[in-house]
Amino acid sequence: MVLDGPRRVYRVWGFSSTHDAIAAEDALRSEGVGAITIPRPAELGGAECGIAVRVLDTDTPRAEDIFGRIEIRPRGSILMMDR
Amino acid sequence: MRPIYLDNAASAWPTPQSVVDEVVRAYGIGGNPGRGAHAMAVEKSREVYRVRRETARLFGALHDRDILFQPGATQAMNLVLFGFLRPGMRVLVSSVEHNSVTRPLHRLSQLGVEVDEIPVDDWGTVHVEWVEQYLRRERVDAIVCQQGSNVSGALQPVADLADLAHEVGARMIVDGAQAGGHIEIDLVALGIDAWACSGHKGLMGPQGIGILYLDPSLDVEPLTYGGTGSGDAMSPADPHERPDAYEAGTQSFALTLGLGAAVKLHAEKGEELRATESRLARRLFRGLSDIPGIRILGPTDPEARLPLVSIVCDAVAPDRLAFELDKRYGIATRSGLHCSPSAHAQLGTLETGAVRFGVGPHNTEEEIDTAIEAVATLSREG
Repeated sequence: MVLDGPRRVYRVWGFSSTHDAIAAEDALRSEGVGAITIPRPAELGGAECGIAVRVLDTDTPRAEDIFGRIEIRPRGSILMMDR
Repeated sequence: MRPIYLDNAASAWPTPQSVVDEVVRAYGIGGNPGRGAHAMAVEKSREVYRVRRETARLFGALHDRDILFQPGATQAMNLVLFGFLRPGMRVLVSSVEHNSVTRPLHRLSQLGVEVDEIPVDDWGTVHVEWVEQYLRRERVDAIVCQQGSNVSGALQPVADLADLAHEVGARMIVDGAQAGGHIEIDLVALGIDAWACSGHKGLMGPQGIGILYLDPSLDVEPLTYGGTGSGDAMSPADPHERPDAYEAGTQSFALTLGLGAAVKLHAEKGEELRATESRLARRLFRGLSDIPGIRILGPTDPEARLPLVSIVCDAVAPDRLAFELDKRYGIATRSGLHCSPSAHAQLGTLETGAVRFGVGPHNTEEEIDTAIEAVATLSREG
């Protein structure tokens, strides 16, 4: 069955360490932002390993504010559509 | 009969059940923290993050990424000494350090680092004014000092030394192996730039893991290079970011969780644990002081001591005293030089060594009294 509805848009951030990715996820969740960790997409670092953090793009301003407050600097971000 | 364990200064025992439970729990989770994004691997990464954060909180570090897990305090001291000191630099070190400091510095001196020693008084304590005088004459890049002695029990004035170091633009590097868990520690308030701590002594965690704190402004070259699970895997260089830069290779998740349980225990009950062991150590100190022919090493002021008591007995050599305590009374102590010949040299016991009683919060007054009575009997028998 194929669901025919609007596709969601996500913002995905890469980080320079697993520690920073987990710290970001922890901070986002503690402030009520729905965040999950995903394998880091190739667009965020080619063949790099590691994890990335994904939120709904509508939460991007809140997330960036939280990153600033906890002094976590992502290494870049991309937009991603669900499939 | 349960042995009377008074070797807590070497390694705490019994290990708290919460520590054992966490070590066992670790093996129920698959994956490798930082390697992979599946649920169990990420769960492990979250656990490591939690332990790091709670450790930072316990010791007053501003950023949890400045807390680095190492195989032990020795490895941690090697990392900071070899990673910071360069040929031509000068370091001032106390004359009562453990081999985990003296041996790396000996090697570094062969590589061109100037190493000068700070004298101590008859009780093994560093005096700030002596360091002040030295710093008027010489330029130094770092002061290295233990927080507390594993032989004399003397607590050192590391906060004052840190002030002096910073006044001349030097770094304060502290070996906290024997102090962590036994005294309240706020690393930022103390002004410490680098601090190493054992997991298995005062903290009562598992053997095989320790803590290194590095001030955010301190630039230290890693000791180990390799995979970190993050950063640019194609780069030939390790990442610069903490903690990954200092934790190459798969770390022990089980020991990390065990350490986490120990940290949690101290966060929740540290004051009570410290009060108990301090009270017992004072009882032991007083009791041993009353025995004729027993000399206690280190400060007489209980506030200036860690909960350990090292003695020499006029009538019985330390090795024999420790042997008889073990065989006749089931009392575990440690004789010899305690990997600290420098300290024993300063305290006048290099030829004989001493017998060390390391008190822990699981000891009882009855055990302490039995130990005092046993020493009195053995001393009397000669």
